[in-house]
Amino acid sequence: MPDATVSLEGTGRETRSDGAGRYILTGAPAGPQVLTVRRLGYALSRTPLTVPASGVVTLDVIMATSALQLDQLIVTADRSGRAKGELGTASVIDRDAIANQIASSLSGVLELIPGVPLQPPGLDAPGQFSLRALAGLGTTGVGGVSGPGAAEIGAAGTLIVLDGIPLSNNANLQTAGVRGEIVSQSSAAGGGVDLRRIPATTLERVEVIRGIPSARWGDLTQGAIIVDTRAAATMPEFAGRFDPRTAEGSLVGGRGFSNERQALTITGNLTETRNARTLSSATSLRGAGQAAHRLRLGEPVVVGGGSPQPRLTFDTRLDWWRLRFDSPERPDLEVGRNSFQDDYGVRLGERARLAVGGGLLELTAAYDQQRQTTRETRRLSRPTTPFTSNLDSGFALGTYVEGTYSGAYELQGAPRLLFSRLEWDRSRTSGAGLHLSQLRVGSEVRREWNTGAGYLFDVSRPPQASAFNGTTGYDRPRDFRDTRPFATSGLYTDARFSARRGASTADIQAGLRLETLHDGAWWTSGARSAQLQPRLTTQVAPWPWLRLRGGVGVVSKSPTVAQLNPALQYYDLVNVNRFTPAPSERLSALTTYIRDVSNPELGLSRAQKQELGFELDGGAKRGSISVTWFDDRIRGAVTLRRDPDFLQRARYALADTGRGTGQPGRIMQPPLFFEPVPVFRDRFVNSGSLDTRGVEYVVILPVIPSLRTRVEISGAQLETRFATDDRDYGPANRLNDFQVDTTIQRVAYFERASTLSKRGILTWRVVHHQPELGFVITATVQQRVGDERRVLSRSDSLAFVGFITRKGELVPVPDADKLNPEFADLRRLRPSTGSGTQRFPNDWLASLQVAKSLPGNGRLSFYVFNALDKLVTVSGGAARALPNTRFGAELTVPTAGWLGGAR
Amino acid sequence: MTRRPPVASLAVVLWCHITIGMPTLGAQDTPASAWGRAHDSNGASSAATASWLGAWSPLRPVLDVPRGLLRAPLAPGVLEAPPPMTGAFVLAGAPGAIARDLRPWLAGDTARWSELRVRESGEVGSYRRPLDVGDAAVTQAIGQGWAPVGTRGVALGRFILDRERHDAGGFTQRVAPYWSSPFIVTDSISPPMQRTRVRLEGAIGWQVAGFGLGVSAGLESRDHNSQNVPLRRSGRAATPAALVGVDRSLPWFGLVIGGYYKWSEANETNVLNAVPLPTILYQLQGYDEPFGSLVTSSNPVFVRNDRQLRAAGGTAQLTVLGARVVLAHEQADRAEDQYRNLVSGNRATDRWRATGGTSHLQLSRALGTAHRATLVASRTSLTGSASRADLTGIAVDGRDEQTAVEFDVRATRGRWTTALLGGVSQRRHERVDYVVERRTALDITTPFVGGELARRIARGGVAVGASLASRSAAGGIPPVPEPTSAPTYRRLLQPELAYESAASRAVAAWTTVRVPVASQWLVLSARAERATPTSTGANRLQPTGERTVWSVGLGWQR
Repeated sequence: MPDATVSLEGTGRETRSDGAGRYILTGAPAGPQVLTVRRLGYALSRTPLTVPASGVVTLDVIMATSALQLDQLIVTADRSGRAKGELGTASVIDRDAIANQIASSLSGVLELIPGVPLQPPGLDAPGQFSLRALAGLGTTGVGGVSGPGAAEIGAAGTLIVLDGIPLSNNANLQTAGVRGEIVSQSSAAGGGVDLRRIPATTLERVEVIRGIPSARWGDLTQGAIIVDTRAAATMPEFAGRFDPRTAEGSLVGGRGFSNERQALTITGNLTETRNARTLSSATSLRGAGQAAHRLRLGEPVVVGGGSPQPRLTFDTRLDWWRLRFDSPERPDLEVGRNSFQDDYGVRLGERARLAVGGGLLELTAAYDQQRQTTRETRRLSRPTTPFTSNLDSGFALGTYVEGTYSGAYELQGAPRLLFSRLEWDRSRTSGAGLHLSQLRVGSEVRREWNTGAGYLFDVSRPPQASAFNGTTGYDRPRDFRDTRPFATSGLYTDARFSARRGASTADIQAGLRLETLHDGAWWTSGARSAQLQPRLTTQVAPWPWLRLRGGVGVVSKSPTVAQLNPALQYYDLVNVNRFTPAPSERLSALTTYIRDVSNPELGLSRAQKQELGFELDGGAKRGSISVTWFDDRIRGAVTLRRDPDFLQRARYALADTGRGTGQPGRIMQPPLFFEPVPVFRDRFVNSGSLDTRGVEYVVILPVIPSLRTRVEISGAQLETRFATDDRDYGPANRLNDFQVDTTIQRVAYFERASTLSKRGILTWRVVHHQPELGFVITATVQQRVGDERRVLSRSDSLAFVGFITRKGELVPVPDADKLNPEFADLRRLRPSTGSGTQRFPNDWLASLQVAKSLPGNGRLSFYVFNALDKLVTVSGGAARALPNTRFGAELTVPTAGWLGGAR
Repeated sequence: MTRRPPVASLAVVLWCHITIGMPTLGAQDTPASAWGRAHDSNGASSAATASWLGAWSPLRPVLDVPRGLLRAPLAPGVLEAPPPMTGAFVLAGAPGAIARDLRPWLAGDTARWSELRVRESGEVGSYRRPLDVGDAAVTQAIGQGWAPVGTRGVALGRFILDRERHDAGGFTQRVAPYWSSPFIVTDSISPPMQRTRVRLEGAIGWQVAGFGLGVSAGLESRDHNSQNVPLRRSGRAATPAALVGVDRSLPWFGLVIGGYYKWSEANETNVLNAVPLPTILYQLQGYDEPFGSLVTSSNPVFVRNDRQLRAAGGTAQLTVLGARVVLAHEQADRAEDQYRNLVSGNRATDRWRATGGTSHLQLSRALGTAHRATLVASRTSLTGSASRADLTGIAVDGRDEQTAVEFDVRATRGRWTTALLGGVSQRRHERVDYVVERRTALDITTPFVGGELARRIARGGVAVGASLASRSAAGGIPPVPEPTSAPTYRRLLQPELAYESAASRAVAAWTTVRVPVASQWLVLSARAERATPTSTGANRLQPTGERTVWSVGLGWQR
């Protein structure tokens, strides 16, 4: 190919190919380099190579004749793009695919995975991501108490690994508690990592392991997303994006020095998304930056028959990010309402690799420190109720809260994560017959804690407990420094056996991981919960065009700091409540009880994953088909359970209570009598089950050369069932009456409803390329079909399981006895639990992206999400609303000349 | 061998261009022309420098005769654009003729013509109608160009990205409020608004064995929001369109015949959320006194307008007596459904159905070696009927016609080039409102003229020009009702009728400087325009004052 620009990335060495397509690049620095080849209208080619200290390297580069032939989405189990040591089904998204995606953050990039719904780009909402699970299946809370739901469980169980080091949301305590009435608008507490912190423009490669991950990865139930940011020598590049609500700018650049033994890369991103200015003035702002330094020492050595590796390599990454959400008060709209959240973090990671003994010894260590501030204010209106701000247990005179006041709280969190992994990896890249191609042994430790000042508010104006009924207490401030750190450790080993015969290959990888949740704050403490996790994946390719894959394995997820250290639960029982129009004559007394609701039995949740798939790969000319069936079953997911209990309430007689005396009266001791009051302890327990099964598929049709068009069809059909072993105590008002009214001796309880959801997503991507004009037009049509939500519960008068007494005893009633006359009071129709089946109409939306290459490898692109602004489809009583249209433009400009980044 | 990559220097050049072009208008405008390309929803859409450069747009409205504010003709663009091309694609957007029309230009300076412009425009003045926006400022970026594709194909495309800021909006948030359909949702306040828009359109065609094949497609997306007022007016609009066409050359008189089909399904969504400032919503639906309904925080209003447009056209080109003659005619149907409820949104409440056609004629002839004359004529005629959800039968009948003729003569002598354009446009709007038994019939005649003089200096040049349009009307509009019986009619409807029935004049002047930079050009331009009424009618509630428009910009061409 004539007239292609050939360069060594980040070194300034550049030349052009001659008329016969040959090139000579002189003066190349020794060491690992990346050779890039560009030609207008063709895909950028990036080929890693190692330049010897002396001599000549000959490298033939095959340019993609069309960008259409790029593997924008690879669903294979063994290609050069796959992470080393992984055989489970995965999607690999490379730099070119990322550049072609309408994305502001990592979550937008992940829309290339089969079955993921498209969302408009921006920072509007926390970008949690849940692999192979359906969100929106409700929470596990009842009676105004909210616990983790399927969305949180799925998101928390999706492991995000950034540059080899896991991210974690386990120590995020930014929530107002399970009974909070003001909930932060922008919090990811209890769920997964907020992916808005990772800008799309700084990504080099994303590998999404949807299937069985190798034993190297722990603390997950759904899958692992391995993210590599742009590092090493990189041509400086500016990218800007603009849409009616979002403005974004990114700068990435890196260069090598010290004879290319070192490389330093700097990335930065600044993004702002504004909501509509008239209903609120909410603004989301993101800043992110990274400095990456690589140092190579020693002469390269050949390890395992592969390419030469430096004897010792140090990779140092310093990440900084900040996410700020600010919705200031708009008195003209609503007095006293505002929200503010400011999260920022710094992470220092070091990966040292030493080539020794024919293998690689790698030590990874990271320290992640975050600071989170959340402030919320609302105007709260309450009926007049007795109130105590007693911070200790015991009897105390109370006051009255009444009317409207400004309820405000502040959460000051400071999550910390200490992580280290030591791994020895011995690999062989070649071998005939059956041979051990990889052996890996490693251990990792993780410690997470929170040193924030905690949940702060004016005790006399509690921001919580709108449904105070004389039993359930108001929240009290809480210091996060009182929470105990938790430590986990993992030991793992896996071995991969490979066999080659002619063009046929077979691989099997067997691994074992021991995951331990320690009962102390350090790894030296005993095991609170431990699980042995076998994992087995295999791939057989009898012919180059056919691959068969399968796998089965066990994975686990640890509880979070919040779940292991729940806030003390307060109960304020009203003993005396004398309310008169004259404030001076009012008298109230309350007894405060404090209960520790932590659950010493709380441990790791466990998921069993299995999958089976095949791939027919005919290359770009013939297309490919990949199909994967999977069945993931999570058991022991952490949910919230209301355990019944009771407290003894003392009742007193009053003296000197004449009206008009101006005196509040006097409480007569001792109490007249005691009465049991049923209450509930809200505990986190391993009681949830989340089962997801389905099929994922990717069909890449052959490129149509005459039209320069490629069509790719991907999708997934999922079915998720979510259930807990919690109990349902009926409607909130009935339960409230039972707690308050001492004449009600018992009330029925039921099994919690379980939820079954089905969803089908089919995505068509049509890519048209005009090399002569430098245009790439990508049209994406996503169909949503067969969406169904079914709530499974009985609602008949015999649906009750038993009854709860005033002393908090659960008394089951056998089915055979439910018709007995003594249970007539329990035989009431169960109020609606939303049971039944809701089928959402099928619908589709289309998005369009038009990209034009600019001189100098720049790029200008326009995107329109939901281009036809399809809105709402109504069918059978159910409405499906699609996200509104969103459009904008992106500009990518290499800035080497501006910054002097290329020499 | 070490070379600095050419990336940065080009990138710097790219982003230093800030252009001025023709004015960008916040209000719905119709610069006087026969090319028919200016029926866009607002002035910012009229992005091309010269009128003919926008006529091919697949997003050109079908079967609609908007009643725009009077505008003087645009600059012929002697320095900024090639002279008018000839053909069915350039004239009517027939995609089968793309390659045939553009092939003659794929040589020399225009072989790969492209430009990028950035400009700032403003519009201010009281001479406007109730639904036109008030003071407006627009920042706009435009890129357009064409290039050969292989040996037989040609592609061209354009993008427009702009942001309008209205210090005071009109009494509606509808992008183009004065159109053929009588259904317009308005309200009682005119808050500051911000509108953002992106338009992408392109066409590609090939010539194979005497056949011409082509497709064109476009998509326009809009987003708008009220700004800094305790009331939310927000809206979106999506306008997709696609055409496919074919033509065939025959061995007589250079005859080429062709046909095309056009599809477009546009929609516009408007939301009115009165938090906490209340407003009163009025739906205009003819000449009835609009009924007002209070919009409060608990009673937000959602209005969706879905439009289905289908058109089929035929074209013919031939050479007679040395002149190239192009004829095009398209027959179209237009269906508009409006509904008000978000949830049960698939049920229309108000409907507008129109049918009719548009015809084009172009004559082009070289006069000697230094002169070239182009004559363009167009005629659109439609009849429509409106039905309301609350009534049975037809509520309003409408008939709109627009006929325009325009000539363009260009002469070059030495370093001097001059262009003279002129013509006349005639619109006829008839409405019969059976509900209140009122009728209008307006004949509006707009003669226009413009000229531009340019001098080439080395590879660059300087041009100055001016244009004038004058409008007069005949016919009848209903008498002004008493304030007590129709206060809203007097406020929202009557001034527009009075505006249309009065005489007015618009004058524009501009200058353009073209500076060579390496192998490309930098284009600086400025334009100003002023429109004023020239007649007044007693008791007609006629808008008065003046309306001025300015724009400055910087562009880069190669």
